Amino acid sequence: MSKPDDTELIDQCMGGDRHAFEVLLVRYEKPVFNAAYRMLSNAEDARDVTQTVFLKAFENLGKYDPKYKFFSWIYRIALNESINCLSKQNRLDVLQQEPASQTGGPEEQTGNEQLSEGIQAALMTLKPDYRTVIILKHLMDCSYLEISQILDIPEKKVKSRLYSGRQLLKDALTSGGLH
Amino acid sequence: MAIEHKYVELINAGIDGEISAGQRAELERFLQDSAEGRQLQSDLTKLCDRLDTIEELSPPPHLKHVILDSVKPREKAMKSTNIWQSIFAAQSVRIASAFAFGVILTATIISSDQISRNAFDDVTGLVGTISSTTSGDPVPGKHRISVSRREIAGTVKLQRAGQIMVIDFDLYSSRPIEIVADFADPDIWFNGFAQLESTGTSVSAEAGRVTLMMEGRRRYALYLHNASGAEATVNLSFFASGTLIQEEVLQFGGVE
Repeated sequence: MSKPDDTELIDQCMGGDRHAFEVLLVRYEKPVFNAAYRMLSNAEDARDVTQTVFLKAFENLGKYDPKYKFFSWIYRIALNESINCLSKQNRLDVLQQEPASQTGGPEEQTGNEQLSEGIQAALMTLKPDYRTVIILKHLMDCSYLEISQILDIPEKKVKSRLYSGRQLLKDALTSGGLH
Repeated sequence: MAIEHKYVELINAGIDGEISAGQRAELERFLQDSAEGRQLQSDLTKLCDRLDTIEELSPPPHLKHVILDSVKPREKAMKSTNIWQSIFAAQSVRIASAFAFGVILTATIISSDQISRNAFDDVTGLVGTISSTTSGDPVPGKHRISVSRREIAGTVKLQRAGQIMVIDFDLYSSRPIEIVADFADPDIWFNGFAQLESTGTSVSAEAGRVTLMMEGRRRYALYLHNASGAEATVNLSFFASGTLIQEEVLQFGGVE
């Protein structure tokens, strides 16, 4: 039996089927949590954001426009909530001043762990606009068009932010000795 | 010499696979003659390969249950929107809601055998700190714990507002759970309680101990008066059906 697509599940949710919401939750909990984590670099904040995202999605299912993909809609909520979380905590200024650095002793980490932490630290040095497109492109595997729909900006701007973001990220990794 | 912007775009688009056949041919012609272009392409390819292999993290195992427990069946959800909005809306609204509930509850559901010299102070002005992790003063010491058990999951945070220690519980339990907060210091006493829902958690206090009973998703705060402002510890014990399932210690480093 084929898995129900998102649109079917949303229709079922709207009809009061709580199980349909659970299926959507299982399908998108992990990518939403990961997007929030990469934006915030804090697992507990990512957990709170993920919770808020799904509650908001459930409450606002009636406003979902099926001409767009469901993941575009929920990723948009996730990124907006993450940015709200950053703003509330007044972290933006601090984050932008933090150098790309690794936590823990590099000699005690495997190459992959060190690299992964280095990239996360470098990501946090980027402004949220740049970080967002990099996360959507490389972690959420979205195309330029999908990113454009999620962020509601022209594709030209997506490209511009992505290319600049990559260059900044490369510079941050180089200054952190990881490129 | 800097690479022309047009070719930087083509290099990036080529790596992303979002390039037409004509653009690809143009890019290849450019790269044949530009060592700098080839270097940029190599660097960006390496960077993108690294980004594409970042490990995915797993969300906390209890998160799904917390979310599912929070959403009501569709029809009921529409009717109860106000409660959820009050919890998840802007912080000012959340604080206002907490304040309103807190004032009522502080007066209605607490049973206390606490020694009378340690009477309640007026903590109503502090009740809003239940929903704000940033409004209270930072507390030196261990001020945040995570609980992740099959029976109960979530976080407990300690904040300070002057001489009042605010313990903020944000928990989900799948069954009735008893939480005992012990504080041996005679200069600390129970000073109030507030929660973000009108029912669901009960509290009783005696000298040196507060006992809470909860089930489901609950957000509430316990207010303890720390008269001396000295270092203090609060031991938290979590019981399910009378069995101890977890013990934690919150540490208050004292007022500097």
